[in-house]
Amino acid sequence: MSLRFQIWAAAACYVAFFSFGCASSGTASAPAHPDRAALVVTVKAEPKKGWHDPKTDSAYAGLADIGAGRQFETIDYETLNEIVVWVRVSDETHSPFAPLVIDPTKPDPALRVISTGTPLLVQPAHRDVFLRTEAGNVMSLSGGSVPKLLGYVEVLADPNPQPVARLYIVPGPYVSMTESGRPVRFDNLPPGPARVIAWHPRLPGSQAEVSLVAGKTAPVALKLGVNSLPKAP
Amino acid sequence: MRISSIACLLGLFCIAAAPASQPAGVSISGKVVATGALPEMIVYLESADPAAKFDPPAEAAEISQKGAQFSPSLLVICAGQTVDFKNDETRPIEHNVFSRSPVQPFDLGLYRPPEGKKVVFNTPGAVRLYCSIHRLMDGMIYVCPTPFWASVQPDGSYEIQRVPPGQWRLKTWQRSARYDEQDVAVKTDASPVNVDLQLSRK
Repeated sequence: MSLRFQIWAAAACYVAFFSFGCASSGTASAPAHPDRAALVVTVKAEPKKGWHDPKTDSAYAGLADIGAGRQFETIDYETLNEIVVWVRVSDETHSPFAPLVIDPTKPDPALRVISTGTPLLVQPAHRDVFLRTEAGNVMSLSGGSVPKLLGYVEVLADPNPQPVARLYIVPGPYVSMTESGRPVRFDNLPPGPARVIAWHPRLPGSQAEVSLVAGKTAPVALKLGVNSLPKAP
Repeated sequence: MRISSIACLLGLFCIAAAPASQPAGVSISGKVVATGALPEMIVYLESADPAAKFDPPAEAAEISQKGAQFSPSLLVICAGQTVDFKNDETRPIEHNVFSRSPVQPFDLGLYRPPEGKKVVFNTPGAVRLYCSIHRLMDGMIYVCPTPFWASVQPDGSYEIQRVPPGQWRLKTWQRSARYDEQDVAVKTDASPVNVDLQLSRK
């Protein structure tokens, strides 16, 4: 291996390491680089206080036998998945993201998390493809476009009545998806103030402010659930 | 006193006692033309006078939760109207209706049948409903700014009835939001008004 190639490979690794927010399963070890910080975030889904677990609640006994099991499917708070966790920091520069290919002929209900700046490619080419935000705003999607949207976005394509893709778009590269109780680690974060946000398609989200210190790994615990919503008067 | 005089006095009394007839208002109707289906679309009026006030219907609208489904799945109401979220399950299954919509976030807490809980919706806009227990339970409430709204029929026709005289903005809203919203100035006086709308896809 030539010296020139070794230098090139080392430089590529150095750039990659500092360009991409690394999210992995959580451990509390120190950040890999002393000038950067790390976060370990654990999100716990919290059912409504006083609820009765449908797994043991006799009211649900026999529902599957009468063919009504699916419509009464409950949210499993212990293994709640599709929890999106992302970190907002002061410096979110990053390398270009690889495009996300959306096939309107094969609807995919799985939630995918991407960062703003990710090009969306519609393949095969399809007319009447739209993006719809959670607020109900709709805009057309032309192939290869980079939508300037944040949050939950559904991709709609005629004639499908249901979305053909579900996306959660965040600014910056520090995003991951996890399940209740499973920690996720973010490495290579710039020191300074940061905001950690947890979001779920079916529960109110939560967030926390944290101060990132170079050479330190900070733990953050968040809860997801309805308990903090205002009560109806 | 003569009987005829008494009859006249009684007649005058009846006329005086009769409530003043309310203006019936006029209708705004027309056709919505679009290149495709128009499921769950409504047209509604917004007063051109931002200070105008309108009384919502006195009776509460109802949403059933039977079978772990919100029914109707889309409810259209007027700002200031009450919605009664009935837990009318046939089994003792609890529900917890909530919304995180910016228009009106709320949480009704857990309750079993036959209890119902009421919410007053004062702010116009869309309110998405969820149940924190049942993962397939989705619903929507659209809160119109005035009581004057109508559903668009499958053939595209609509009619908003009993509209009082005034200046209005006629607007559209569709749940799937695949068409550009319309916003048309309309003036009503003593005659019905016809307004056709041509929708274009977003």
